[in-house]
Amino acid sequence: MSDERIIQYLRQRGRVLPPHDLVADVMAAIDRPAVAPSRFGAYVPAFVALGAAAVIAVLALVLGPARVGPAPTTSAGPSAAASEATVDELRAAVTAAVDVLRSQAGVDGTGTYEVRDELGSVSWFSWRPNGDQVVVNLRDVDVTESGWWLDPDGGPPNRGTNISTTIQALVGGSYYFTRGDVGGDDLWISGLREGSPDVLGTPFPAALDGRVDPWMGEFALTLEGEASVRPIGDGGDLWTLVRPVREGSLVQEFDIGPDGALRSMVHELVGVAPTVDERPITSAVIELTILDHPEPIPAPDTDSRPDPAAFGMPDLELAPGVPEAEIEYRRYVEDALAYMQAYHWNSAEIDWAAARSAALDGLPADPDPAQAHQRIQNAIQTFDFSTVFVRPQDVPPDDGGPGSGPTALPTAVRIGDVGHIVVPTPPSSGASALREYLRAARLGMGSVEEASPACGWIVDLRDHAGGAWGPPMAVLGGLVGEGRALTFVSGSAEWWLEVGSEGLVTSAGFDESDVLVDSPYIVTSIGGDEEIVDAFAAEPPHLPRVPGAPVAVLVGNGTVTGGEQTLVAFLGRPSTRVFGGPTGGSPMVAPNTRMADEAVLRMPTGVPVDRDGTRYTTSILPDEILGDTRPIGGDVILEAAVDWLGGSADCP
Amino acid sequence: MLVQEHATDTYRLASAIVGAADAADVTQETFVAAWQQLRSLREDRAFGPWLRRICINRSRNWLRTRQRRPQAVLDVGDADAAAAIPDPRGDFRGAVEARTVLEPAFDALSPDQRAVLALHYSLGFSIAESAEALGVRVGTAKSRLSAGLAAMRRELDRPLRDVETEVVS
Repeated sequence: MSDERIIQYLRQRGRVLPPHDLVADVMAAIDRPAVAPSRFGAYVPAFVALGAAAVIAVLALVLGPARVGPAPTTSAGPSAAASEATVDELRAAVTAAVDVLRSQAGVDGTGTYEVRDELGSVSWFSWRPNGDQVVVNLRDVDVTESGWWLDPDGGPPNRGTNISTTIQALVGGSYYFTRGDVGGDDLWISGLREGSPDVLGTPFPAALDGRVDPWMGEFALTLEGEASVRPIGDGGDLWTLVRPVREGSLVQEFDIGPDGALRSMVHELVGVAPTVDERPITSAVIELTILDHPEPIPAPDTDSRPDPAAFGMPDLELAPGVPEAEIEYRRYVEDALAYMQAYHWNSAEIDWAAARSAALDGLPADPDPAQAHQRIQNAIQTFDFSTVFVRPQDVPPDDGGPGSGPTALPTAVRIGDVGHIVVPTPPSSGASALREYLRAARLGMGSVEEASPACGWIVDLRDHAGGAWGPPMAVLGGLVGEGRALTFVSGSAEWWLEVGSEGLVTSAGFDESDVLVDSPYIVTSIGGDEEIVDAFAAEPPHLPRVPGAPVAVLVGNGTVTGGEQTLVAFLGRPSTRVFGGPTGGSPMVAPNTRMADEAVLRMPTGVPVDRDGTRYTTSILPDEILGDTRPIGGDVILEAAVDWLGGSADCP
Repeated sequence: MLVQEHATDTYRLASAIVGAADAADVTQETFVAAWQQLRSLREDRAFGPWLRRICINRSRNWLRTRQRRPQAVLDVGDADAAAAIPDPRGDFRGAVEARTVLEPAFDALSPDQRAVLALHYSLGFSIAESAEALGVRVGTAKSRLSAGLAAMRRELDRPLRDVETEVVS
């Protein structure tokens, strides 16, 4: 069929005449909101539904002289009226409708969550009677987290560009999850938490399992309010529960089909403005589909990247991407410049006028992609050698980087009464590889102290050539000690790592709402790495048997980025000394930022700060500078560390 | 009268998005919601665009709660739905095609795609005006428009021709 025919049909859809009694029906609905045929209008509490005269007066004041108010004649409207019901009746009806679902071979569901009419997240789940279930959630971080709703005239920043995808699955009694997609390194962490969570992302599967009530969802309500029910017309019933919430009301609808099964649930805050202290979701819709002959939910392949489609998830569109043809490349350049200026670690010292001049002077109004990419590279050259812009055609398929290939595992040995742990470059992806890395460290350190406690430790970071800070921190949390060990500062934002009493590391302080550049062309922005933090809980570190034991840290020019950040976590720690050569000189966090056309901007953003407040932007010098003699035999750095520990009060 | 002034446009917009069978209900919801939220309307904002935005949101919500349910078998005798077909007597073949082939393809679209197609093609809004009504960027509106048409083409390419042939012949 031709496009012309499709468009002709679409045009016809707009050429309709309304029913002759439409205006009368509308006026009747407005005039009698308590019994209006509207789904929501019928259930607005009396205190919200102002008297007609008052509303007419408001309308007249706001809108001027146009006539407002009920029409002289009224009509019952096209839908059946609601009848009152008790809350207990509603509860019984919904419980029975969930029971019908529970007796099916499988149930799929989709959830749509809005913040003041802006689409904030969508979710999909699939459930089986044996308890297996999978939940996928796509969240627009800028819509759900940025606090834009507190500005009466505001809108979400960067809408549709900062999407977080999470997958959770409960299969055969094992719990699998992946968190966050900042940087694109989603990992499966499987079966590592005791038991399974009560609620996977969206509560409804847990409702089918009987673990939570179906109404204990986004709004976690007690069952109270005004209940009513009305027939829908297809044999089903729409049950409604309304209760006052602050200045407005919360409307919950439960649509029960003629087969007795729950078909959908709607939660909508009416006339309630989100506040800074409460979840901003103002509307949630969960739709349910019975599966007649569902396939079993497959156990995820934990060594491959999580893929929602592997579970049969349909295409859910949260934010359409920007097709290359739609990119306005002059604005693309301008936005890239604005992004760099907002997040570069040294932004205050950079001559941005010169950078803009290099990028934009003489640039055509409608440049092609090659021109735009070249101009961004020209701009970077005016201020930095550590920022890199990679054109789409030059981006390697797997992005490479430290830890992308086979990696060495941590090893631990005992030298006299001292433990020596070698912490090499960690794997950059793959849950099983990460678990193996963490487990090797824990078991190795444990074996060192199996017979007797180590009086001190040597942490060897000399072959830690990059990668993330997460794995080494997870390995060494027990040695680093409780409290805030490492802080990252990026412009006005900061986030930090805290070590708990069990040596577990958590990340805190990063404010996802700190989105400074509103651009459809910047797909990912800077952020924390929560998925790695989650892995910490999966493989807790070895806790040294001597709390606060002295630590010698070994470094050199092979200690880079993640290795340098791990070193910073030890700086300022009591009974700690650093041995070796100057570090590699790239201690800053430098995430890969994806652009809409798949180009990558790699820029240093977060500066590590030690517990004394010292910032590190270049090579870090050890306390005792020593040459690395390993290539020619012997290891004077290690020997110096052993000597220092042997002379300490803890290692007599 | 304000309702009278805006009822037809609101109904047409709702009809273009959700279909004529549900347009009256959505129109009522729109005006009731507008009535309840009237205090949030600033004096310097036009009532028409504000009402249009409410109508779009109500239509999307309406679709989200209903589009996944099994649809009843087409009933050509449905007076409300028949109103969406221009004049069956003048173009019977086209009307049947619209009802049996094109309408299901349109119904398969996402609420956002339906909304932008309705604004641009059914109501004649420019892309910029459609984007403004939807509260999205022009680029987003364009991509949704393109994706919506592509999705309709895909739906129409599915092997449903036997239905079309059977009805038309």
